[in-house]
Amino acid sequence: MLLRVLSRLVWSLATLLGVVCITFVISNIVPADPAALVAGDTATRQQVAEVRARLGLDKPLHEQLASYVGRLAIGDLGKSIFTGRPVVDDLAARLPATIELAIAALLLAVAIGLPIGVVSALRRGSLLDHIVRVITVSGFAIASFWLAVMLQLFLAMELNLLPLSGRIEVPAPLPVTRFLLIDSVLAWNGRAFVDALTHLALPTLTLALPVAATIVRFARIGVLDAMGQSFVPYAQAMGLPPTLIVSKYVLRSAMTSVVTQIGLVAGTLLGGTVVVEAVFDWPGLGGYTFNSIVMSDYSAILGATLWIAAAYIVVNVLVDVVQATIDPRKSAS
Amino acid sequence: MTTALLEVENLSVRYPTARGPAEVLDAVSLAVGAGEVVGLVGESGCGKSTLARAVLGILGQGQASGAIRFKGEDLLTMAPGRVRREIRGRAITFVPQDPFGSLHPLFRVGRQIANLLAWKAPSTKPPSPLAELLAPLHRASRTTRRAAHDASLEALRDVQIPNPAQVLDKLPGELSGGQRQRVTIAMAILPRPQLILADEPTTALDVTIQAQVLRLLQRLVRDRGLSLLFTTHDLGVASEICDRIVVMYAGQDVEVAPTRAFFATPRHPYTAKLLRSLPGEDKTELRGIPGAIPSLVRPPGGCRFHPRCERSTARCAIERPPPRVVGAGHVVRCHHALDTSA
Amino acid sequence: MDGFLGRLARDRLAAAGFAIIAAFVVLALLAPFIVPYPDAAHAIDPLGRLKPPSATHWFGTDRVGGDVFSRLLLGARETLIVALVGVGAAAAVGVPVGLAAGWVDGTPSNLLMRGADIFLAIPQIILAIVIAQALGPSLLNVILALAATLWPWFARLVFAETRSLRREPFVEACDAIGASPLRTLALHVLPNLASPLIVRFSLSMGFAVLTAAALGFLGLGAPAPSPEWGRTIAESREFLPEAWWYAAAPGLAIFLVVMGFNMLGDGLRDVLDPRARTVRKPAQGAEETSGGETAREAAA
Repeated sequence: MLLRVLSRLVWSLATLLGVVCITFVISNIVPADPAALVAGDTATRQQVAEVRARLGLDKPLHEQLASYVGRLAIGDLGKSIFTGRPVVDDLAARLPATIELAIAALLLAVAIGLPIGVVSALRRGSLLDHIVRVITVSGFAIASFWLAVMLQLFLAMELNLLPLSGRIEVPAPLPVTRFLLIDSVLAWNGRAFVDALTHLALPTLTLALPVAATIVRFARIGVLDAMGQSFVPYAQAMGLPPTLIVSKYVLRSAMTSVVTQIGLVAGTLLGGTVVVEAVFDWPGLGGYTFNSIVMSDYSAILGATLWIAAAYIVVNVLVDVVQATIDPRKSAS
Repeated sequence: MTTALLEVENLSVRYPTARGPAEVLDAVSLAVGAGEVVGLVGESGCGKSTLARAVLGILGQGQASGAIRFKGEDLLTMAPGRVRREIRGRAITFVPQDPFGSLHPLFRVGRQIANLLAWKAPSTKPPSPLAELLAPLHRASRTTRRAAHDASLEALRDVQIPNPAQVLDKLPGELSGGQRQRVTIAMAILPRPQLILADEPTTALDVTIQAQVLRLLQRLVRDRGLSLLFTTHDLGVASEICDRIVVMYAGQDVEVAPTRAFFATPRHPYTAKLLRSLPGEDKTELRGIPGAIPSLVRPPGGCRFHPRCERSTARCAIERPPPRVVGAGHVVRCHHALDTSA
Repeated sequence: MDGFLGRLARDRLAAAGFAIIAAFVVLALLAPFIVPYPDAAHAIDPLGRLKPPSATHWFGTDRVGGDVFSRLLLGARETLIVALVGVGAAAAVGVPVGLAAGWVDGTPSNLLMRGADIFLAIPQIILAIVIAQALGPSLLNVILALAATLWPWFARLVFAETRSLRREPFVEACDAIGASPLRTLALHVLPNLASPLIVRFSLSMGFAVLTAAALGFLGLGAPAPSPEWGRTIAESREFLPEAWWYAAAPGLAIFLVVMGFNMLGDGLRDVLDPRARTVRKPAQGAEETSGGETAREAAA
């Protein structure tokens, strides 16, 4: 088991290195010149050249890459060209907001998706099943940015139920964990809690719905698969309670397929945060990534992409481990 | 003559299919007495598994009519919940054909046996419907778990599994076919049933293991005074341990006889043909039975074997032959039964 | 082919998807000729701005007074071209890579598939954004971004199938009689891949439409006054909630088209390869259900 995790980690590192190279190369085909952007509109050629030298952008590409990787090894992600702060600090500041959003969305998606998928499979062929299947297929076709805009339109603008954007409006509680919900509870600040919650609602909903559709789909397939196996009729023949058969035996089998998809789903979540954060003005990693891309902020782009890719890889390794626990046959080989 | 433990009376089962309803069982009758081993023999598709399922009450889409009396009570009219709580896994247990698929691949053997004992242990009463509903929340106490563990070990020893403690910790996939079948047999005897239904228990096993498993079943039945009804398509297997053999063809029961009489003096043309088709030392050719098994959606009328029988007459196509006693415990359903052995 | 088309017609899912896509393609191709307001792409009518749906303007007008419906049709054209070329390019790269990696063994093969893995390690939408932004806002660059994002899927699919076919006796026989690898690949391996490739193509089209729209929404696609759907939705935001038709119409169009491609893809899969309906166990490689890939698609 340990060997398995270790080997996965090694491969992940190699993959991450590849990600760095690719992102680096792509970012450097940029026609826009960040040195010029930093120096400003009125800068002379001389001044721009000075800025360029200062930022180290005048060295050949491979040298830049080599020095970048070197600094990476000691944890230095460089400075953001625009905020002037170390990228690591910027990322760290924005990370909790995205994690809060991602976790909320994942929880919501599982809470909605899992029961619906299971019930849909148990009632296969019924009207409910058909409706569910149509809804999930539709779920894959809706552009999430459009969903975000529509939700804003109806729930925030028309019905005025929820705030339009942002993370919090009332004064924020003291940053302990930087998760607003937790911090406001720790500070026993009811107003802040409610405010944070209502601001969290729309982005979470937007992010959660496509994920829920995936979960419904795979829970359904997993349960149907499990029902088709012979341990079900045997358990029935031996008179075991039906609730037990479903909850223990069927679900356990079905879990394998759902858990695999959580890895996939994490990718959707992480990617989805970019768009959702852009629409809802959510101060997280996704928004930061997008802004730095628009501003041609190399170090920031690289740093953010790296973190997101790393998160995705870590999640996949975790999924692997969880799967091995659920299905001991895999680790036994 | 002891009163029969299980009496199947004119059982018919109908399944809906894409091509119309299939008459899978047609007025089948048989009986199993206490301590008896009865073999249900027939080709694939003759309805033997369906009969077992009907007795257990797990027909799914199938509709049953007739009567299945177990210790006097008709299981077909009993509430399904009662059948599940009191009969299945308690009074009547089951040994499956495919032990590999039947045991859950992801749970250890000990856990699966413990799950069974939690609900079917002979020392406990059948659960209430509410308890059954809340089954997922049930947690056995430490003493119960300890007792279950001991009982499992003993059961595994009874079915002659070496190293029972190790086996309890294994996944079904880590055991051999013979071991898996022994586990399911252990699970079938743990609840101290009166009747065991075994659906082709040896078909999926190697020939060498088959004999061992059969011996085991025979011994268990004898030592515990159980009854065993098992289905098979292998006459050799049936001859090993059965007291009586029932022959089925295309959903109809055609002959029942004590084993010796069955092999010595078969009376039904189908039975005779089956016996003739067994390869033996003095036979140089394989003899099959010409024709094919009929469709059960539009089965032949009367005796369903008549299209393939050289003794059939017009009467055979119209009137299903009634049971006729031709010897001690020997009943045949044929208008033109054989008088002497072939 | 007669039997195939017949089966396709009988599968309602595929038939419905096919109908939608056919309508989409026809409308998109004929757009410049059939739009009620041919110069909607460039028209400026300050007095007629932001009018709600009416008999003259079925979906109302946008912020410069252009007819939303006409712009929608013109946008369909762009969407179709972008998606088609993008996915086509991805396949043109991914299929040969997959074939090569599946055929040979050892380091070259590992390197190729590692390369694919690296591209897949970045959530798709982010990769597309990085590429599109690096290259500048234009239609061509959206196509390039799509190709770079999608090629690993084709590569993986082709790799898995080629690898498993490589071990098949009939392929070894080709080796034994001295047939060149190219010939074997072309004559024996590719035909087996045709079905899953077609399915994958259709599903990728759906993803491409969503991603292209997302890029357009973020301002990374073709610049104004492009009638691209994503871009239109972005434009409409400042006029909400009053001009709701402005945002709703393009979104619904995207929804219909993507649904069409997904239904077609699912239906094609059912017709071409009923076995593939179930989830393949993870130990065997890439997950192949449309739910799996569309989960990634939904990142847009």
